[in-house]
Amino acid sequence: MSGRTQIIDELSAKIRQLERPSFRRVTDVLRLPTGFREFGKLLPEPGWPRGCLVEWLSVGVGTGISTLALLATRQPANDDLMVLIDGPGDFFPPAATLMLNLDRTVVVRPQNSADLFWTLEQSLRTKGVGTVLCAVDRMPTQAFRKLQLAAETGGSLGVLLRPEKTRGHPSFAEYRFLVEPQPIPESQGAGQPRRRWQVELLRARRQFSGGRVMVELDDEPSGHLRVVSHVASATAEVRAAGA
Amino acid sequence: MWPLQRLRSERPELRSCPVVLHSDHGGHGPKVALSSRWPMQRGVVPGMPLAEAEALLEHGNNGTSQRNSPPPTHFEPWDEHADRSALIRLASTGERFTPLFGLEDSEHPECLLFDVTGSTHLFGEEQGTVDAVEADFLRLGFRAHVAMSSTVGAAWAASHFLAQPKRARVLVMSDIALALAPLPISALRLPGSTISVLHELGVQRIGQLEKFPRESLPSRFGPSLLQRLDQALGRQEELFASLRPQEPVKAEWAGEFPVSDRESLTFVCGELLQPLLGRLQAQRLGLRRLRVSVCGPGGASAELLVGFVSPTDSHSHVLEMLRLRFERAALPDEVLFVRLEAVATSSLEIRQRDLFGEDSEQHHREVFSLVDRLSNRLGANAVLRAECVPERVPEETAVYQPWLAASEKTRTGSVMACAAWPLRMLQQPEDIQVFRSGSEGAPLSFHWNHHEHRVIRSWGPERIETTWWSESPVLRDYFRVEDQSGCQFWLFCRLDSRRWFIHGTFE
Repeated sequence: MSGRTQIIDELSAKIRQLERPSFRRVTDVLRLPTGFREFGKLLPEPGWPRGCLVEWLSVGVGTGISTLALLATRQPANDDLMVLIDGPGDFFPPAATLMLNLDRTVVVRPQNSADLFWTLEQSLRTKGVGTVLCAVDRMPTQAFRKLQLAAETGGSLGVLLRPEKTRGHPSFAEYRFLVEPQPIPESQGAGQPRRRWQVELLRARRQFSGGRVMVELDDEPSGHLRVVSHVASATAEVRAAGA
Repeated sequence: MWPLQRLRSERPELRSCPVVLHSDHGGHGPKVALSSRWPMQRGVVPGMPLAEAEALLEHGNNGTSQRNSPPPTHFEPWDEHADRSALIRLASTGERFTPLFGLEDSEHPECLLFDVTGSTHLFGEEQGTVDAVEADFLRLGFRAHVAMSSTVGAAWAASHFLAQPKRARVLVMSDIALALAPLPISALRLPGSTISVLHELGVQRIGQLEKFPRESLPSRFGPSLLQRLDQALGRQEELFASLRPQEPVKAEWAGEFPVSDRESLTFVCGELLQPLLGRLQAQRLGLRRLRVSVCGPGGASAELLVGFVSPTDSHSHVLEMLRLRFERAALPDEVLFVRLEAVATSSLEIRQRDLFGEDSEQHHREVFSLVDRLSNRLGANAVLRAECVPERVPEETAVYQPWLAASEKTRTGSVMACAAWPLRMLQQPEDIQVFRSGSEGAPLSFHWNHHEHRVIRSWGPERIETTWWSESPVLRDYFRVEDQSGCQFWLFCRLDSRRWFIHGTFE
């Protein structure tokens, strides 16, 4: 009987502990997995916090930044809605089907910057929206702050694609990355189509962090993301995306 | 026969061949249900086993010369549900003549009923009306036997046994008994068993019923004979269920003084929404589309359509959408009249709360609310769902639908994935200048968007071509190229003109 009583007491204590009010924000507790493990190691803490903004900076056109950002932030097991803000109207769905569930993706085409910011804020603030992806050039500080608050309210992940020239601008994003495409060395041959990037964590809002990682993507046939090892480039370990 | 007319109108290729419809109601194998004239002339009758009918028609074909034999008989399962649905849709042609139209009360209805009491003077009296009805059906591709009378029974009998195509009949009240007397007993819409009994007694025509005492008819032949006879002759009333659409749900306001600001207009709409949504809620219906009509002095008017992804009965949500639309709509400066009308409704969705897991019902509602807000502020064509279609030409492989419309339709498209294509495709391919190309045709450098790009790696060519009989034939060799900075582009060469274009960038 004493054994049973002890078990019951322990269970009661655990239940009381769980029911104790917590003053931590929900967004501090819940984190989303990154697209692949090695990239996640670049972050101060594993996974993306819910309810935050992430900036991805790049220079020029054809850098592959949208692909990398989608791969790093997608949540394939999640039923939440994805809002893709496509101002120029040039999003090409057939290229995205391996990264997105088009049935759970809303493509929005605002015609001016006022509508773009309004769409961003409304989407970020809505519970049930998992990720919002948008290319934004100029971002007034006040608007940026409103977006951060909207993301915290809705618990969604805001992925902002921005030009590298905004590097020195104030930011309310949780993380800011710089993505630089890298030409694949001649010695490694043409092979199947693929891409390589250097990804640098420029800033993490709450902590002093930095770091760089080189990643490579095989577009065909596998769609695998892998880390490029500088020492043993011939035997780079392949990791399936979503780890 | 309506089932054959319906089938042939939907499948014109069957118009020139004999058709046999079969069904398997009793579970004893398929049997003939209906057939066109030629199989009937060859001995096919309703109730005959299908295999027997097939053998009969095949034997019949072998016996005749090839020149005289019709095309092979087409056998088709009888789709009674499709027949009824199509007839209901066709019934709406009666709206031009009357608000009261419906189907005959029968297990397999083939007859439409239009109550044109009080409206015949609009179409040239009775004969003009029946001629107009027949002409309307003919325009839709259907042959109709049309008749008019003061009773449903008499009109039914006349349409089936007196009227011919282009010879619509009108039976006035005083002529009904005389006109019906020579018609067969089946013109009274009697059960088959009653008709059989009457035939055994030698009663073939309606006029022969006069020899029986009226009081004895129910006891000898069942209640239906006297009932149908009295209905046809106008001694007993007969009603039919109208298919007329329900009264639209709407609410109106007409002010003595105009409102001239958006806030006041929104307030008026809020007041009108209360009774409108109340009527829908009473029927467990939610709003899918709301029409807002406003008029001002001098005839100025405007009309808006507000749509919702999911049927809603939320006053605050609908009012918020109206407020968003009013911000951008061109409305009269002063408004004297407002009408709200529910143009599309559907059953409110009922979601079961998940007691032990996370309650996602609230999230669903918020997502629907977001799509509504985006669509109503930016326009339905700015909030889209993408679908991939299996086409050869890249610019034809993606189809977009407004989310508001897409949510109402069943999606049947297939997914087509192509990881090697770029995430960004230009709306129109742009001319580029290629300076040099390699031995396999890949460009070695090109100029685009004020920049010179030196190609250090390329993949391709991927040839994309359409058939020669396409309206706009396409013959292109695509190359994926990487420049000196690691950026990648999608270029193609038109093989007919050897001109180069950029079609997309790998973002």
